Amino acid sequence: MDVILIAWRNLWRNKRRTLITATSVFFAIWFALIMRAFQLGSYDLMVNNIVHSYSGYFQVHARGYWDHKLLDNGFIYNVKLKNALDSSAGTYGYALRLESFALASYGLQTRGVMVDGIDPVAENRLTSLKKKLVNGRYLDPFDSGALVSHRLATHLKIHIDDTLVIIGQGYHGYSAAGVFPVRGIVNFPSPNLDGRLVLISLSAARNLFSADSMLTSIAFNVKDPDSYNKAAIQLRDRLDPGNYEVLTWDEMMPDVVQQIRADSVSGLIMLGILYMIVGFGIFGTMLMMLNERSREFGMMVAIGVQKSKLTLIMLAEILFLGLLGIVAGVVAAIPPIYYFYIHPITLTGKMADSMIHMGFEPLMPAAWRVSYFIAQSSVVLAIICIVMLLPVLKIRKLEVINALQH
Amino acid sequence: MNIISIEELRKSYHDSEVAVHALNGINLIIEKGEFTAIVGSSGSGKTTLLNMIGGLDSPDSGCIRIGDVDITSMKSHKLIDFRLRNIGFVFQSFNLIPVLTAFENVEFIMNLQGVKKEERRKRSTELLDAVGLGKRLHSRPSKLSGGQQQRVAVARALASHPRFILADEPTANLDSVSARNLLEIMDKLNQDEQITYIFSTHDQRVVNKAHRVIVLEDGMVVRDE
Ligand SMILES: Nc1ncnc2c1ncn2[C@@H]1O[C@H](COP(=O)(O)OP(=O)(O)OP(=O)(O)O)[C@@H](O)[C@H]1O
Ligand SMILES: [Mg+2]
Repeated sequence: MDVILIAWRNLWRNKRRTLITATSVFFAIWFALIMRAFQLGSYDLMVNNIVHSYSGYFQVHARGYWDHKLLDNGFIYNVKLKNALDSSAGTYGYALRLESFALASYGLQTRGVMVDGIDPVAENRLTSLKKKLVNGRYLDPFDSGALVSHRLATHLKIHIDDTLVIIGQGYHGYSAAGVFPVRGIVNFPSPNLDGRLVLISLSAARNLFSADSMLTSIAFNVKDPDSYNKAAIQLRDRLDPGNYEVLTWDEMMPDVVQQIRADSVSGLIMLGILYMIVGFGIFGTMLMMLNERSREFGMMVAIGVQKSKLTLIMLAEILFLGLLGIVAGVVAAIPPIYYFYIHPITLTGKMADSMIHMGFEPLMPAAWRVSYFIAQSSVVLAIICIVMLLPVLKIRKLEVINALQH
Repeated sequence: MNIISIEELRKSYHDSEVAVHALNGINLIIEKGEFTAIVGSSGSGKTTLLNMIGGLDSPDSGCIRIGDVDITSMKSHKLIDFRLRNIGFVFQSFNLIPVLTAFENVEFIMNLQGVKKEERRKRSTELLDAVGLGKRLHSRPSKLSGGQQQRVAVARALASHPRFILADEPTANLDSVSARNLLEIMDKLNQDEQITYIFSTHDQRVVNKAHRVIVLEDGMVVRDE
């Protein structure tokens, strides 16, 4: 009890210094939390955009398909496979796809396109495709028409109810040709997709490519985005690895992962520098506290205070100081982070354009997770623990006689 | 009854080119209830001797027995506990814990000793009353005059029921009125409660109060009366 009381009062002996030090901890942790929240938030958004615009959290292909995306590397979708998918835990629906490249032409224009045979209902559940519709109507399950991406439609100068001609190669070298009335125009943020995507129903695609009951990929949604890996591994265990590959979004797009990691590291380095400055601040305060009190320490040990008790007082003092800053910083960071988690900042201008260009929503949300609050606080606490070595060592070496003479 | 017995105590410092023999073979016996002044010119070894008796410093040779315990061979943390339970200290200045009130400073030492709360409260109040600070119980040291601070220190030294109290120039920083006041209190407690005091001083008025005067010169006892 003495220890706490004395430590607490000691803290306010030099009010200004205590406040300055606590404030520096406060700002460091506040700033670090907010910065990290936006950083993690932008990664989450990026991943979310990728996963929900196209890839899903993971996909099943025939083995080797991802390296050579050919129709001939597709697979038969049979009851046994369907049962395996349906009984796999952790997934939240999946979308069947049959994809291949072909030429699309209308009037005098011809373009190389990606023809994507989809299950319209399942696809919409995974990627909210219906929301991207800017004109016309969405596909029915066995529709014989097509959705054309916006830029492609502009290039081809094609409109709703016009008839699109598609020519290409089907399964095992069959020739593929078909005509598809345009049902709707869909707009994809990514120019890469927007310039070359034609969506038709799965049945129409199987007809076109002479690929009965075949698929090239199945994209999965999951119940818990944080544990998509677990769900993928479970499914992988159920499928014959000789025939199928199960790839998570990050395995399919390692460059995105790399980009996030590089960006994250640069953020962490900044935090490291910030924390180092704070660490030195606390260190300096501790040093001053110890030096100006050596006579007092000498007196206390002389009258019978054990060094361990004296050390405890100093540790409690520095802990109070740190906790003051940490708690205040965390408490003050919660409202803005939560606010920007619910209401992401909408970017404008060049920044927004470049985000849209890369296929992302021009938003800057904050991430809302307990884990990084704990992580940041722990880092500061760890720094404080290191600074704690100072009084421990100093008091252990204290010689009463010398201290009294100071 | 002997409280302290000192035999052939020696201590020298080798900081400078020539060795300084601060204590040069001291033999002393202090008995219960004594009110002893140690006097001598500056540098004669008074502080060094008191520090040795208080177990704050260790001699080069010789021994110091308090009761029947030889404190010169005690381990550091044992010695701290020994001081807590056996010796009261009054230093020249900087006696008190600045963040504790007069009352809390006195109570603190009993808390270290594990004395019960009611007992602590009672004794703290009584002692501060006895040193004339009954009205300043809840003042912090910075709000007290030098003399008042020294009186709190005396109360604190007494609080732990020590075998004796060591005071190195307790009046050195006090004006003559405060000094006399402090001395009278110490004298009274000595008479009433048989408290043993050993103090060093330059102050002739303090010397006059003493029952026994030990004169040091170059680390040796030259007179003892
Ligand atoms: N830590 C030390 N290092 C070196 N020499 C010391 C040390 N402490 C004391 N001395 C020397 O030992 C001798 C005795 O010093 P001490 O402090 O005991 O004298 P004193 O009688 O208390 O003097 P004063 O009346 O000035 O307080 C002096 O010559 C002093 O210079
Ligand atoms: Mg001295």
